[in-house]
Amino acid sequence: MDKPLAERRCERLILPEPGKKPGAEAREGWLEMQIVVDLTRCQGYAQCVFLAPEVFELHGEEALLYNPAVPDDQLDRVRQAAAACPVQAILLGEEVSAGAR
Amino acid sequence: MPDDLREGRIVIVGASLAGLRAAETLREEGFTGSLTVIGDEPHPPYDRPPLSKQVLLGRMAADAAALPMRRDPDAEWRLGVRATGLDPVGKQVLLADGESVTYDRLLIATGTRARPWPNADEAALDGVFTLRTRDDAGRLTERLAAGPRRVLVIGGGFTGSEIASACRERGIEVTLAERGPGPLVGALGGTLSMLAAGMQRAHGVDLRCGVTVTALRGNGRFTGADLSDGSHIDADVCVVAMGAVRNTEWLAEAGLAAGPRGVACDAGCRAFNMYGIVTDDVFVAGDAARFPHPLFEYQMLSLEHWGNAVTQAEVAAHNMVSPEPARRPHLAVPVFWSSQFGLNIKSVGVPTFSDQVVIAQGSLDERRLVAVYGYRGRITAAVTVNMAKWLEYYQGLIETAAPFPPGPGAADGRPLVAAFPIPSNVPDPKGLFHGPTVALTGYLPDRRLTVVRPAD
Repeated sequence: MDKPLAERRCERLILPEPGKKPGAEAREGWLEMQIVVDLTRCQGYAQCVFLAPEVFELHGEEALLYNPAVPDDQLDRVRQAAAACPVQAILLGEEVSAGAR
Repeated sequence: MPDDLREGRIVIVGASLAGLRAAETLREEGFTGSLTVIGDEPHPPYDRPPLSKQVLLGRMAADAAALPMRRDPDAEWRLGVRATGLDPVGKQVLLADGESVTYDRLLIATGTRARPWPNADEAALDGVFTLRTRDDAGRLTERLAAGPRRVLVIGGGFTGSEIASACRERGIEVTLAERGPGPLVGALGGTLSMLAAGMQRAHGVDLRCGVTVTALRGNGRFTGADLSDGSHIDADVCVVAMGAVRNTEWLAEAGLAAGPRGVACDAGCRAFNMYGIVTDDVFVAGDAARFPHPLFEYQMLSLEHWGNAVTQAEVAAHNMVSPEPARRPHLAVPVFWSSQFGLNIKSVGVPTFSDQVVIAQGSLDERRLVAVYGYRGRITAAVTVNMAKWLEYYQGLIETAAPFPPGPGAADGRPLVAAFPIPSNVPDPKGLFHGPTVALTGYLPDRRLTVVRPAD
Protein backbone atom coordinates (compact mmCIF):
# COMPACT_ATOMS: atom_id res chain seq x y z
CA MET A 1 0.00 0.00 0.00
CA ASP A 2 1.21 3.47 -0.82
CA LYS A 3 2.14 5.94 1.86
CA PRO A 4 -0.65 8.28 2.95
CA LEU A 5 -1.37 11.09 0.56
CA ALA A 6 -0.11 13.86 2.82
CA GLU A 7 3.21 12.14 3.43
CA ARG A 8 3.90 11.56 -0.24
CA ARG A 9 3.19 15.14 -1.04
CA CYS A 10 5.68 16.35 1.57
CA GLU A 11 8.54 14.59 -0.18
CA ARG A 12 8.31 17.00 -3.05
CA LEU A 13 6.64 20.00 -1.60
CA ILE A 14 8.62 23.19 -1.46
CA LEU A 15 6.88 25.19 1.19
CA PRO A 16 5.90 28.71 0.30
CA GLU A 17 6.96 31.59 2.50
CA PRO A 18 4.61 32.08 5.42
CA GLY A 19 1.63 34.20 4.57
CA LYS A 20 2.15 33.72 0.89
CA LYS A 21 0.02 31.56 -1.31
CA PRO A 22 1.92 28.86 -3.16
CA GLY A 23 2.85 30.69 -6.31
CA ALA A 24 5.26 30.19 -9.15
CA GLU A 25 8.31 30.28 -6.89
CA ALA A 26 6.88 27.62 -4.62
CA ARG A 27 6.34 25.37 -7.58
CA GLU A 28 9.82 25.72 -8.94
CA GLY A 29 11.16 22.38 -10.00
CA TRP A 30 7.61 21.16 -10.36
CA LEU A 31 5.69 20.47 -13.45
CA GLU A 32 3.04 23.11 -13.69
CA MET A 33 -0.10 21.02 -13.91
CA GLN A 34 -3.25 22.42 -15.43
CA ILE A 35 -6.63 20.95 -16.18
CA VAL A 36 -9.25 21.70 -18.71
CA VAL A 37 -12.70 20.11 -18.68
CA ASP A 38 -14.39 19.49 -21.99
CA LEU A 39 -17.73 20.95 -20.97
CA THR A 40 -19.12 19.99 -24.34
CA ARG A 41 -18.83 16.43 -23.09
CA CYS A 42 -19.50 16.97 -19.37
CA GLN A 43 -22.93 15.69 -18.30
CA GLY A 44 -22.77 16.75 -14.70
CA TYR A 45 -22.21 13.34 -13.07
CA ALA A 46 -20.11 15.27 -10.54
CA GLN A 47 -17.73 12.43 -9.72
CA CYS A 48 -14.93 15.00 -9.83
CA VAL A 49 -16.74 17.16 -7.27
CA PHE A 50 -16.80 14.26 -4.82
CA LEU A 51 -13.19 13.29 -5.42
CA ALA A 52 -11.59 16.74 -5.50
CA PRO A 53 -14.00 19.23 -3.95
CA GLU A 54 -11.33 21.89 -3.63
CA VAL A 55 -10.86 21.96 -7.40
CA PHE A 56 -14.30 21.14 -8.81
CA GLU A 57 -17.68 22.47 -7.71
CA LEU A 58 -21.17 22.48 -9.04
CA HIS A 59 -22.63 25.88 -9.63
CA GLY A 60 -26.36 25.43 -9.49
CA GLU A 61 -27.71 21.99 -10.36
CA GLU A 62 -25.25 20.88 -12.99
CA ALA A 63 -22.93 23.64 -14.20
CA LEU A 64 -19.35 22.72 -13.36
CA LEU A 65 -16.84 25.31 -12.16
CA TYR A 66 -13.24 24.34 -11.58
CA ASN A 67 -9.82 25.77 -10.92
CA PRO A 68 -7.64 25.11 -13.99
CA ALA A 69 -4.37 25.59 -12.05
CA VAL A 70 -4.11 22.48 -9.93
CA PRO A 71 -2.72 23.18 -6.45
CA ASP A 72 0.16 20.82 -5.69
CA ASP A 73 -1.63 19.15 -2.82
CA GLN A 74 -4.62 18.37 -5.02
CA LEU A 75 -2.76 16.63 -7.82
CA ASP A 76 -3.49 13.07 -6.76
CA ARG A 77 -7.13 13.85 -6.16
CA VAL A 78 -7.42 15.47 -9.58
CA ARG A 79 -5.79 12.42 -11.17
CA GLN A 80 -8.42 10.26 -9.52
CA ALA A 81 -11.16 12.60 -10.67
CA ALA A 82 -9.88 12.51 -14.25
CA ALA A 83 -9.79 8.71 -14.15
CA ALA A 84 -13.26 8.47 -12.63
CA CYS A 85 -15.03 10.87 -14.98
CA PRO A 86 -17.71 8.75 -16.71
CA VAL A 87 -17.41 10.75 -19.92
CA GLN A 88 -13.62 11.26 -19.69
CA ALA A 89 -13.92 15.01 -20.01
CA ILE A 90 -10.98 16.02 -17.78
CA LEU A 91 -7.57 16.59 -19.32
CA LEU A 92 -4.61 17.03 -16.99
CA GLY A 93 -1.30 18.15 -18.37
CA GLU A 94 1.48 20.66 -18.44
CA GLU A 95 0.96 24.07 -19.90
CA VAL A 96 3.10 25.33 -22.74
CA SER A 97 6.04 26.91 -20.96
CA ALA A 98 6.82 30.50 -21.82
CA GLY A 99 10.27 29.82 -23.20
CA ALA A 100 9.12 26.73 -25.08
CA ARG A 101 10.61 25.95 -28.38
CA MET B 1 5.80 20.56 -51.13
CA PRO B 2 7.78 17.53 -50.04
CA ASP B 3 6.44 14.23 -51.27
CA ASP B 4 6.14 12.99 -47.74
CA LEU B 5 3.53 15.09 -46.01
CA ARG B 6 5.00 14.16 -42.65
CA GLU B 7 8.01 16.33 -43.39
CA GLY B 8 8.49 19.97 -44.28
CA ARG B 9 7.53 23.20 -42.58
CA ILE B 10 4.12 23.79 -41.05
CA VAL B 11 3.14 27.17 -39.65
CA ILE B 12 0.08 27.67 -37.45
CA VAL B 13 -1.14 31.23 -37.06
CA GLY B 14 -3.11 31.43 -33.84
CA ALA B 15 -1.90 30.18 -30.46
CA SER B 16 -5.16 29.51 -28.70
CA LEU B 17 -7.24 26.35 -28.36
CA ALA B 18 -7.42 25.43 -32.06
CA GLY B 19 -3.75 26.23 -32.69
CA LEU B 20 -2.57 24.15 -29.74
CA ARG B 21 -4.77 21.13 -30.49
CA ALA B 22 -3.73 21.22 -34.15
CA ALA B 23 -0.05 21.31 -33.21
CA GLU B 24 -0.46 18.30 -30.92
CA THR B 25 -2.42 16.38 -33.52
CA LEU B 26 0.21 17.01 -36.19
CA ARG B 27 2.79 15.28 -33.99
CA GLU B 28 0.37 12.50 -33.04
CA GLU B 29 -0.11 11.84 -36.73
CA GLY B 30 3.59 11.51 -37.24
CA PHE B 31 4.64 14.93 -38.52
CA THR B 32 8.39 15.19 -38.01
CA GLY B 33 9.12 18.47 -39.78
CA SER B 34 9.45 21.93 -38.30
CA LEU B 35 6.42 23.45 -36.59
CA THR B 36 5.97 27.12 -35.74
CA VAL B 37 3.02 28.56 -33.84
CA ILE B 38 2.45 32.31 -34.02
CA GLY B 39 0.24 34.12 -31.51
CA ASP B 40 -0.45 37.83 -31.07
CA GLU B 41 -1.02 37.55 -27.32
CA PRO B 42 2.13 37.25 -25.23
CA HIS B 43 0.69 34.30 -23.28
CA PRO B 44 0.92 30.58 -23.91
CA PRO B 45 -2.43 29.04 -24.95
CA TYR B 46 -5.12 29.50 -22.31
CA ASP B 47 -8.76 28.65 -21.92
CA ARG B 48 -11.27 31.45 -22.43
CA PRO B 49 -14.61 30.09 -21.10
CA PRO B 50 -13.61 30.51 -17.42
CA LEU B 51 -12.91 34.21 -18.01
CA SER B 52 -16.59 35.17 -17.97
CA LYS B 53 -17.40 32.75 -15.14
CA GLN B 54 -14.89 31.66 -12.47
CA VAL B 55 -12.60 34.64 -13.09
CA LEU B 56 -15.30 37.31 -12.86
CA LEU B 57 -16.65 35.60 -9.76
CA GLY B 58 -13.22 36.04 -8.19
CA ARG B 59 -12.72 32.29 -7.71
CA MET B 60 -9.59 32.07 -9.81
CA ALA B 61 -7.00 34.45 -11.17
CA ALA B 62 -7.31 35.55 -14.77
CA ASP B 63 -3.81 34.24 -15.53
CA ALA B 64 -4.45 30.77 -14.08
CA ALA B 65 -6.31 29.28 -17.03
CA ALA B 66 -3.40 27.97 -19.12
CA LEU B 67 -4.47 25.07 -21.31
CA PRO B 68 -2.87 21.71 -20.55
CA MET B 69 -1.08 20.04 -23.42
CA ARG B 70 -2.07 16.56 -24.53
CA ARG B 71 1.56 16.12 -25.54
CA ASP B 72 4.41 18.48 -26.16
CA PRO B 73 4.06 19.48 -29.81
CA ASP B 74 7.75 20.35 -30.02
CA ALA B 75 6.94 23.63 -31.70
CA GLU B 76 8.62 26.98 -31.92
CA TRP B 77 6.24 29.38 -30.19
CA ARG B 78 6.38 32.94 -31.46
CA LEU B 79 4.14 34.65 -28.94
CA GLY B 80 3.35 38.32 -28.68
CA VAL B 81 3.79 38.95 -32.38
CA ARG B 82 0.91 39.50 -34.76
CA ALA B 83 0.74 38.07 -38.26
CA THR B 84 0.14 41.00 -40.57
CA GLY B 85 0.05 39.43 -43.98
CA LEU B 86 0.26 36.32 -46.09
CA ASP B 87 2.18 35.87 -49.32
CA PRO B 88 0.63 32.77 -50.89
CA VAL B 89 3.08 32.70 -53.79
CA GLY B 90 6.25 33.04 -51.74
CA LYS B 91 4.55 30.95 -49.03
CA GLN B 92 5.39 33.33 -46.24
CA VAL B 93 3.58 34.66 -43.21
CA LEU B 94 4.55 38.27 -42.57
CA LEU B 95 4.89 39.37 -38.96
CA ALA B 96 4.40 42.71 -37.22
CA ASP B 97 8.06 42.77 -36.16
CA GLY B 98 9.12 42.82 -39.82
CA GLU B 99 10.19 39.20 -39.93
CA SER B 100 8.56 36.50 -41.99
CA VAL B 101 8.14 32.76 -41.62
CA THR B 102 8.19 30.38 -44.56
CA TYR B 103 5.78 27.46 -44.74
CA ASP B 104 5.00 24.46 -46.86
CA ARG B 105 1.55 24.16 -45.30
CA LEU B 106 -0.26 26.78 -43.25
CA LEU B 107 -3.07 26.55 -40.70
CA ILE B 108 -5.10 29.68 -40.05
CA ALA B 109 -6.52 29.61 -36.51
CA THR B 110 -6.67 33.31 -35.72
CA GLY B 111 -10.13 33.16 -34.14
CA THR B 112 -12.05 36.25 -33.17
CA ARG B 113 -11.72 39.33 -31.03
CA ALA B 114 -14.33 41.27 -29.10
CA ARG B 115 -16.31 43.69 -31.21
CA PRO B 116 -15.37 47.12 -29.92
CA TRP B 117 -17.80 49.93 -29.11
CA PRO B 118 -18.10 51.78 -32.43
CA ASN B 119 -17.27 55.24 -31.05
CA ALA B 120 -13.53 55.13 -30.31
CA ASP B 121 -13.56 58.15 -27.99
CA GLU B 122 -16.36 56.69 -25.90
CA ALA B 123 -14.71 53.28 -25.94
CA ALA B 124 -11.54 54.86 -24.53
CA LEU B 125 -13.31 56.11 -21.39
CA ASP B 126 -11.88 54.64 -18.21
CA GLY B 127 -14.34 51.99 -17.06
CA VAL B 128 -15.39 50.77 -20.51
CA PHE B 129 -14.35 47.17 -21.16
CA THR B 130 -14.68 44.31 -23.57
CA LEU B 131 -14.13 40.71 -22.53
CA ARG B 132 -12.21 38.34 -24.72
CA THR B 133 -8.66 37.94 -23.43
CA ARG B 134 -7.26 37.06 -20.04
CA ASP B 135 -5.90 40.61 -19.77
CA ASP B 136 -9.43 41.94 -20.36
CA ALA B 137 -10.74 39.60 -17.67
CA GLY B 138 -8.04 40.62 -15.20
CA ARG B 139 -8.81 44.31 -15.60
CA LEU B 140 -12.57 43.85 -15.42
CA THR B 141 -12.35 41.61 -12.36
CA GLU B 142 -10.23 44.17 -10.59
CA ARG B 143 -12.85 46.80 -11.28
CA LEU B 144 -15.68 44.54 -10.10
CA ALA B 145 -13.77 43.82 -6.90
CA ALA B 146 -13.60 47.55 -6.22
CA GLY B 147 -17.39 47.51 -5.78
CA PRO B 148 -18.90 49.62 -8.53
CA ARG B 149 -22.36 51.03 -7.91
CA ARG B 150 -23.70 49.71 -11.20
CA VAL B 151 -22.41 47.87 -14.23
CA LEU B 152 -23.92 48.42 -17.65
CA VAL B 153 -23.65 45.42 -19.96
CA ILE B 154 -24.31 46.16 -23.63
CA GLY B 155 -25.45 43.03 -25.43
CA GLY B 156 -27.53 40.10 -24.23
CA GLY B 157 -25.69 37.24 -25.88
CA PHE B 158 -23.97 34.47 -23.93
CA THR B 159 -20.99 36.57 -22.87
CA GLY B 160 -23.10 39.55 -21.85
CA SER B 161 -25.53 37.36 -19.94
CA GLU B 162 -22.72 35.51 -18.15
CA ILE B 163 -21.17 38.84 -17.15
CA ALA B 164 -24.51 40.05 -15.81
CA SER B 165 -24.88 36.77 -13.91
CA ALA B 166 -21.43 37.09 -12.33
CA CYS B 167 -22.11 40.69 -11.31
CA ARG B 168 -25.37 39.75 -9.61
CA GLU B 169 -23.70 36.89 -7.82
CA ARG B 170 -21.18 39.39 -6.49
CA GLY B 171 -24.00 41.63 -5.36
CA ILE B 172 -23.34 44.30 -7.96
CA GLU B 173 -26.25 46.15 -9.58
CA VAL B 174 -26.47 45.48 -13.31
CA THR B 175 -28.31 46.94 -16.24
CA LEU B 176 -28.26 44.87 -19.41
CA ALA B 177 -29.23 46.62 -22.63
CA GLU B 178 -30.13 44.55 -25.68
CA ARG B 179 -31.30 45.91 -28.98
CA GLY B 180 -33.20 42.73 -29.87
CA PRO B 181 -36.39 41.46 -28.23
CA GLY B 182 -34.61 39.48 -25.51
CA PRO B 183 -31.38 37.95 -24.23
CA LEU B 184 -29.97 34.92 -26.07
CA VAL B 185 -32.63 35.30 -28.76
CA GLY B 186 -30.03 35.35 -31.53
CA ALA B 187 -28.76 31.88 -30.66
CA LEU B 188 -31.81 30.21 -29.13
CA GLY B 189 -34.88 31.92 -30.58
CA GLY B 190 -37.92 33.37 -28.83
CA THR B 191 -39.03 30.65 -26.38
CA LEU B 192 -35.79 30.18 -24.50
CA SER B 193 -35.15 33.90 -24.68
CA MET B 194 -38.27 34.31 -22.55
CA LEU B 195 -36.80 31.91 -20.00
CA ALA B 196 -33.49 33.77 -20.04
CA ALA B 197 -35.22 37.12 -19.59
CA GLY B 198 -37.23 35.74 -16.67
CA MET B 199 -34.10 34.39 -15.01
CA GLN B 200 -32.29 37.69 -15.41
CA ARG B 201 -35.14 39.66 -13.87
CA ALA B 202 -35.58 37.11 -11.07
CA HIS B 203 -31.92 37.62 -10.21
CA GLY B 204 -32.31 41.37 -10.11
CA VAL B 205 -30.90 42.36 -13.48
CA ASP B 206 -32.34 45.60 -14.78
CA LEU B 207 -33.03 44.18 -18.25
CA ARG B 208 -33.77 46.64 -21.04
CA CYS B 209 -34.68 45.06 -24.38
CA GLY B 210 -35.60 46.70 -27.64
CA VAL B 211 -33.37 49.66 -26.88
CA THR B 212 -30.05 50.78 -28.23
CA VAL B 213 -27.32 52.58 -26.37
CA THR B 214 -26.90 55.88 -28.13
CA ALA B 215 -23.94 57.32 -26.22
CA LEU B 216 -21.50 56.46 -23.48
CA ARG B 217 -21.00 59.42 -21.16
CA GLY B 218 -18.10 60.51 -19.02
CA ASN B 219 -15.27 62.93 -18.75
CA GLY B 220 -12.26 60.70 -18.95
CA ARG B 221 -14.06 58.26 -16.72
CA PHE B 222 -17.27 56.43 -17.70
CA THR B 223 -20.26 57.70 -15.75
CA GLY B 224 -23.27 56.41 -17.64
CA ALA B 225 -25.03 55.90 -20.93
CA ASP B 226 -27.96 57.27 -22.89
CA LEU B 227 -30.54 54.83 -24.25
CA SER B 228 -32.68 55.24 -27.34
CA ASP B 229 -35.88 55.35 -25.26
CA GLY B 230 -34.69 58.63 -23.76
CA SER B 231 -33.58 57.14 -20.45
CA HIS B 232 -30.15 57.42 -18.92
CA ILE B 233 -28.25 54.80 -16.92
CA ASP B 234 -25.80 55.92 -14.24
CA ALA B 235 -23.02 53.35 -13.98
CA ASP B 236 -19.28 53.20 -13.23
CA VAL B 237 -18.44 50.23 -15.41
CA CYS B 238 -19.58 49.40 -18.92
CA VAL B 239 -18.91 46.06 -20.57
CA VAL B 240 -19.40 46.03 -24.32
CA ALA B 241 -20.49 42.48 -25.18
CA MET B 242 -21.57 42.96 -28.75
CA GLY B 243 -20.26 39.75 -30.20
CA ALA B 244 -17.06 38.93 -31.98
CA VAL B 245 -15.13 40.08 -35.02
CA ARG B 246 -13.21 37.48 -37.00
CA ASN B 247 -9.50 38.08 -37.25
CA THR B 248 -9.18 37.92 -41.01
CA GLU B 249 -7.98 41.42 -41.90
CA TRP B 250 -4.39 40.22 -42.11
CA LEU B 251 -5.48 38.04 -45.05
CA ALA B 252 -6.82 40.96 -47.11
CA GLU B 253 -4.08 40.67 -49.73
CA ALA B 254 -3.73 36.91 -49.57
CA GLY B 255 -6.18 36.10 -52.34
CA LEU B 256 -8.22 33.85 -50.06
CA ALA B 257 -11.99 33.75 -49.61
CA ALA B 258 -11.58 35.61 -46.32
CA GLY B 259 -13.86 38.31 -44.97
CA PRO B 260 -15.86 39.41 -41.95
CA ARG B 261 -17.61 36.05 -41.78
CA GLY B 262 -14.40 34.08 -41.71
CA VAL B 263 -12.23 32.14 -44.12
CA ALA B 264 -14.29 29.85 -46.33
CA CYS B 265 -13.05 26.29 -46.50
CA ASP B 266 -14.20 22.87 -47.66
CA ALA B 267 -15.31 20.07 -45.37
CA GLY B 268 -11.68 19.02 -45.11
CA CYS B 269 -10.68 22.45 -43.73
CA ARG B 270 -8.82 23.48 -46.91
CA ALA B 271 -9.25 27.21 -47.53
CA PHE B 272 -10.85 28.47 -50.72
CA ASN B 273 -9.12 31.17 -52.66
CA MET B 274 -11.05 34.23 -53.82
CA TYR B 275 -12.12 32.44 -57.01
CA GLY B 276 -13.70 29.64 -55.01
CA ILE B 277 -10.89 27.23 -55.93
CA VAL B 278 -9.79 25.08 -53.06
CA THR B 279 -6.15 25.43 -52.00
CA ASP B 280 -4.10 22.49 -50.89
CA ASP B 281 -1.57 24.18 -48.65
CA VAL B 282 -3.71 26.58 -46.61
CA PHE B 283 -6.04 25.14 -43.98
CA VAL B 284 -8.32 26.83 -41.49
CA ALA B 285 -9.87 25.80 -38.16
CA GLY B 286 -11.78 27.23 -35.23
CA ASP B 287 -13.71 30.49 -34.98
CA ALA B 288 -11.99 31.90 -38.07
CA ALA B 289 -13.33 29.13 -40.31
CA ARG B 290 -16.50 29.07 -42.34
CA PHE B 291 -17.35 25.61 -43.56
CA PRO B 292 -20.20 23.70 -45.24
CA HIS B 293 -22.24 21.29 -43.15
CA PRO B 294 -24.36 18.57 -44.78
CA LEU B 295 -26.87 18.47 -41.91
CA PHE B 296 -27.72 22.09 -42.54
CA GLU B 297 -28.18 21.99 -46.29
CA TYR B 298 -24.48 22.59 -46.86
CA GLN B 299 -24.81 26.13 -45.65
CA MET B 300 -21.53 27.62 -44.57
CA LEU B 301 -21.37 27.71 -40.77
CA SER B 302 -19.26 30.05 -38.69
CA LEU B 303 -19.09 28.72 -35.15
CA GLU B 304 -17.71 30.34 -32.03
CA HIS B 305 -17.64 27.14 -30.04
CA TRP B 306 -14.96 25.60 -27.86
CA GLY B 307 -15.72 22.08 -29.07
CA ASN B 308 -15.61 23.07 -32.71
CA ALA B 309 -12.19 24.63 -32.28
CA VAL B 310 -10.93 21.27 -30.98
CA THR B 311 -12.54 18.94 -33.50
CA GLN B 312 -11.94 21.14 -36.51
CA ALA B 313 -8.29 21.60 -35.53
CA GLU B 314 -7.92 17.83 -35.26
CA VAL B 315 -9.43 17.28 -38.70
CA ALA B 316 -7.35 20.06 -40.25
CA ALA B 317 -4.14 18.71 -38.74
CA HIS B 318 -4.93 15.18 -39.88
CA ASN B 319 -5.60 16.36 -43.42
CA MET B 320 -2.43 18.47 -43.49
CA VAL B 321 -0.31 15.36 -43.14
CA SER B 322 -2.49 12.86 -44.98
CA PRO B 323 -2.70 12.07 -48.69
CA GLU B 324 -6.06 12.64 -50.35
CA PRO B 325 -7.68 9.20 -49.89
CA ALA B 326 -6.98 9.30 -46.15
CA ARG B 327 -8.45 12.74 -45.55
CA ARG B 328 -11.43 13.18 -43.30
CA PRO B 329 -14.39 15.60 -43.36
CA HIS B 330 -15.26 17.85 -40.42
CA LEU B 331 -18.82 16.74 -39.77
CA ALA B 332 -19.16 17.20 -36.03
CA VAL B 333 -22.57 18.43 -34.91
CA PRO B 334 -22.14 21.84 -33.25
CA VAL B 335 -22.35 21.77 -29.45
CA PHE B 336 -21.95 24.60 -27.00
CA TRP B 337 -22.72 25.43 -23.40
CA SER B 338 -23.22 28.40 -21.14
CA SER B 339 -23.75 28.66 -17.41
CA GLN B 340 -25.56 31.65 -16.02
CA PHE B 341 -27.99 32.45 -13.21
CA GLY B 342 -27.64 28.92 -11.90
CA LEU B 343 -28.67 27.38 -15.20
CA ASN B 344 -26.57 25.06 -17.30
CA ILE B 345 -27.57 25.66 -20.90
CA LYS B 346 -26.29 23.29 -23.57
CA SER B 347 -27.10 23.22 -27.24
CA VAL B 348 -26.58 20.64 -29.97
CA GLY B 349 -27.22 21.25 -33.65
CA VAL B 350 -28.07 24.69 -34.99
CA PRO B 351 -31.09 26.24 -33.24
CA THR B 352 -31.12 29.12 -35.70
CA PHE B 353 -31.65 26.59 -38.50
CA SER B 354 -35.27 26.08 -37.54
CA ASP B 355 -38.80 27.17 -38.13
CA GLN B 356 -40.42 25.56 -35.10
CA VAL B 357 -39.61 24.64 -31.52
CA VAL B 358 -41.29 22.36 -29.00
CA ILE B 359 -40.56 21.75 -25.33
CA ALA B 360 -40.06 18.01 -25.33
CA GLN B 361 -39.19 17.46 -21.67
CA GLY B 362 -39.48 19.53 -18.52
CA SER B 363 -40.97 23.02 -18.59
CA LEU B 364 -40.14 26.69 -18.46
CA ASP B 365 -41.62 26.86 -14.95
CA GLU B 366 -39.32 24.14 -13.65
CA ARG B 367 -36.37 25.86 -15.31
CA ARG B 368 -35.40 22.43 -16.42
CA LEU B 369 -36.22 21.42 -19.95
CA VAL B 370 -35.27 20.19 -23.36
CA ALA B 371 -36.32 22.38 -26.27
CA VAL B 372 -36.23 20.63 -29.64
CA TYR B 373 -35.97 22.65 -32.83
CA GLY B 374 -37.19 21.55 -36.22
CA TYR B 375 -36.97 22.69 -39.78
CA ARG B 376 -39.49 21.45 -42.32
CA GLY B 377 -40.34 18.41 -40.32
CA ARG B 378 -36.93 17.23 -39.19
CA ILE B 379 -35.03 17.81 -35.98
CA THR B 380 -32.14 20.25 -36.41
CA ALA B 381 -31.24 21.22 -32.84
CA ALA B 382 -31.93 20.69 -29.17
CA VAL B 383 -31.20 22.86 -26.16
CA THR B 384 -31.12 21.49 -22.63
CA VAL B 385 -31.50 23.61 -19.52
CA ASN B 386 -30.21 21.71 -16.47
CA MET B 387 -30.81 18.45 -18.35
CA ALA B 388 -27.43 17.97 -19.99
CA LYS B 389 -27.57 14.19 -19.81
CA TRP B 390 -30.19 14.22 -22.56
CA LEU B 391 -28.07 16.09 -25.08
CA GLU B 392 -26.51 12.98 -26.57
CA TYR B 393 -29.88 11.40 -27.22
CA TYR B 394 -31.05 14.40 -29.21
CA GLN B 395 -27.74 14.60 -31.03
CA GLY B 396 -28.52 11.13 -32.36
CA LEU B 397 -31.91 12.35 -33.58
CA ILE B 398 -30.29 15.31 -35.33
CA GLU B 399 -27.65 13.14 -36.98
CA THR B 400 -30.30 10.79 -38.32
CA ALA B 401 -32.63 13.60 -39.48
CA ALA B 402 -35.40 12.25 -37.23
CA PRO B 403 -38.88 13.68 -37.81
CA PHE B 404 -39.99 16.84 -36.02
CA PRO B 405 -41.78 17.12 -33.67
CA PRO B 406 -40.31 14.15 -31.83
CA GLY B 407 -43.02 11.59 -31.09
CA PRO B 408 -44.59 11.48 -27.63
CA GLY B 409 -42.31 9.44 -25.44
CA ALA B 410 -39.42 9.87 -27.81
CA ALA B 411 -37.23 10.48 -24.81
CA ASP B 412 -38.47 9.59 -21.37
CA GLY B 413 -41.93 8.20 -21.96
CA ARG B 414 -43.64 11.40 -20.90
CA PRO B 415 -46.01 13.16 -23.24
CA LEU B 416 -44.75 16.29 -24.87
CA VAL B 417 -45.30 19.22 -22.58
CA ALA B 418 -46.25 21.54 -25.36
CA ALA B 419 -48.31 19.40 -27.68
CA PHE B 420 -48.08 21.93 -30.46
CA PRO B 421 -44.81 23.24 -31.81
CA ILE B 422 -44.62 26.99 -32.01
CA PRO B 423 -42.53 29.21 -34.27
CA SER B 424 -38.93 29.28 -33.15
CA ASN B 425 -38.75 33.05 -33.72
CA VAL B 426 -35.15 33.31 -34.72
CA PRO B 427 -34.54 36.96 -35.52
CA ASP B 428 -32.34 38.42 -38.19
CA PRO B 429 -29.00 38.93 -36.43
CA LYS B 430 -28.79 42.41 -37.93
CA GLY B 431 -31.28 43.65 -35.35
CA LEU B 432 -29.35 42.44 -32.32
CA PHE B 433 -26.54 43.68 -30.15
CA HIS B 434 -25.24 40.17 -29.69
CA GLY B 435 -24.05 37.69 -32.27
CA PRO B 436 -25.69 34.30 -32.57
CA THR B 437 -22.40 32.37 -32.00
CA VAL B 438 -23.67 29.94 -34.63
CA ALA B 439 -23.92 32.01 -37.76
CA LEU B 440 -25.63 30.65 -40.82
CA THR B 441 -23.65 32.66 -43.28
CA GLY B 442 -25.88 31.88 -46.23
CA TYR B 443 -29.45 32.65 -45.19
CA LEU B 444 -32.02 31.94 -42.50
CA PRO B 445 -33.84 28.89 -43.82
CA ASP B 446 -37.34 30.28 -43.36
CA ARG B 447 -36.50 33.37 -45.36
CA ARG B 448 -35.83 32.77 -49.00
CA LEU B 449 -33.26 35.41 -49.57
CA THR B 450 -29.55 35.77 -49.55
CA VAL B 451 -27.90 38.92 -48.38
CA VAL B 452 -24.77 39.74 -50.30
CA ARG B 453 -22.51 42.20 -48.57
CA PRO B 454 -19.34 43.57 -50.07
CA ALA B 455 -16.28 42.82 -47.96
CA ASP B 456 -15.39 45.85 -45.91
